Amino acid sequence: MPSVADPSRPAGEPGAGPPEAETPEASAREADLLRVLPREELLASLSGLRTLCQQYRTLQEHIWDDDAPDAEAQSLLARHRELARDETGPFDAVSAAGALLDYVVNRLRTSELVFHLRSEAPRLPDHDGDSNGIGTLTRQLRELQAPLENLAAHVFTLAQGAPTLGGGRTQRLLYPIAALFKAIVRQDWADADLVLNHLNMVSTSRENHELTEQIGRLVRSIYDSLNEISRSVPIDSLSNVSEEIPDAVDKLGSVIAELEDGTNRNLDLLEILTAYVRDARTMLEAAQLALAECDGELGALTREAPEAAAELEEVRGLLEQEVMERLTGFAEHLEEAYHLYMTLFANQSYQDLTGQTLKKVIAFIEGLQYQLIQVISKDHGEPTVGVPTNSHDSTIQSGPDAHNRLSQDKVDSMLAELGF
Amino acid sequence: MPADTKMHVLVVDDFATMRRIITNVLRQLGYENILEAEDGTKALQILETEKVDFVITDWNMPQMSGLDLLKAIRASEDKKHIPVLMVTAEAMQENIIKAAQAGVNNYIIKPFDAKTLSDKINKIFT
Repeated sequence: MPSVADPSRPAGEPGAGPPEAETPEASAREADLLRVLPREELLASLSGLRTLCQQYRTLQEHIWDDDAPDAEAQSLLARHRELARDETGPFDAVSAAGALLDYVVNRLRTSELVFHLRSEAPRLPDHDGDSNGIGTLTRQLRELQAPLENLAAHVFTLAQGAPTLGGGRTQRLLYPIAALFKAIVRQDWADADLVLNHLNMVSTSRENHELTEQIGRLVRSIYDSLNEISRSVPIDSLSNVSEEIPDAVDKLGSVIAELEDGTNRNLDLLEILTAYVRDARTMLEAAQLALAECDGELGALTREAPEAAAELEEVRGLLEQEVMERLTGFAEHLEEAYHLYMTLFANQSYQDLTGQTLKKVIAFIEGLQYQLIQVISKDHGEPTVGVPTNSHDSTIQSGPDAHNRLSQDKVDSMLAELGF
Repeated sequence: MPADTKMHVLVVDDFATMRRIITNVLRQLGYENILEAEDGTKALQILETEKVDFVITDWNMPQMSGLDLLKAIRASEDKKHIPVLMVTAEAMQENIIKAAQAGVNNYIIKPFDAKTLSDKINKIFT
């Protein structure tokens, strides 16, 4: 900010008292300054900057206050943009952006970038992923992204609201700043370096240089922090786990395929067995009919030859007891076997249930693998294993949930309550 | 009273083995006119071209879920009367309520037994 006279007591204002004696050099500096900027415009700009700073302070408080309604922050932002258009003059939005960035830098340095990795070796993540070093790391990385994205969004907003200066230099500076923060959010350091170089090229004024230097320090700080985190993470063991996961997933996939194969083999056999039962039923019915006919024939013979009635009756009795009763018993067993086969048929539906559950486990493991790859690849280049492609398969995600499943009896009670 | 075993039953499940199981159980129960579809979209195509008296559907399927198929049937003027039985692994309270609200006629959770299937079909057609 230029050094100027007290704006509350501008030179030449009535009642301001006698002017101090000026050296020729001071007069020359003031004359030089006034040539660049008329006195009234300078005072208006100072006043505007003070208002801007106040707006920024309020804005910053609201931006970082989680409870503040977005609408209020938006309203402040809009007011700032209006002020920026109308009053900034040479004290453009770059200076104000610098103030905001400075605030955010300090904020990030003091709180957001403090990572509390445990001193002991981190364990592998458990189900909630949050009770150990890796879970904490993942959460902290996510927390870091939010303020950076917020910052990038605000820099963009500033760029849109900022007045043109020197043929659009402000925009030419602010857009790369936003691009830089986006690169940081993506942790694309190569891109960040490119943007920084670009910023150095387009920064010509002292203020701009200071601003870019601040940003450079911020980038370095974030970069160093992430490197430090990376060094604390047992990348080698994580890489090993990550590389073993596809094998585990393949094995689970094989289990599903083998289960399905086994189920189909069972169904093949059951279809043959039930066909046997159907054939046996038919043959049994035919045998029972034949026996009934024999019984009728024996009755007729008894009537035709009463002298042989006793022997014929003995044959009928034998037929009744030894053949008919046994056939009836066989028919009962056949029906029992038939019902058991039907139960076996229906029981094969377990395979669908276990298959769906295993697919859900696979989706979970692949999700875990994806997260591990993200952590490993942040500072160790491209992932060395494939990124899962079916983790977002809604069919799999909505598979059976063992904890909340109701039994058929409970389902029936519920249906009854619903009027079924 | 047992349901009419001459009726045309459409079995909808993306899992071929499951269709085979249900179809087999239905055949053992005496139903001979059985059609199959691998998802809700295919089922709707069959409903347009074939005579169907009864639909047995899974819930989780690609393209179109059993719930969406049920809603589509209930939204169709000439098919809304067709009874629909869900046979699914979705055994959570909220899902059963969703199915009931969409107009399902009954609900069986996997794994099921033949008697439950038979009882539910008979109950629907009583």
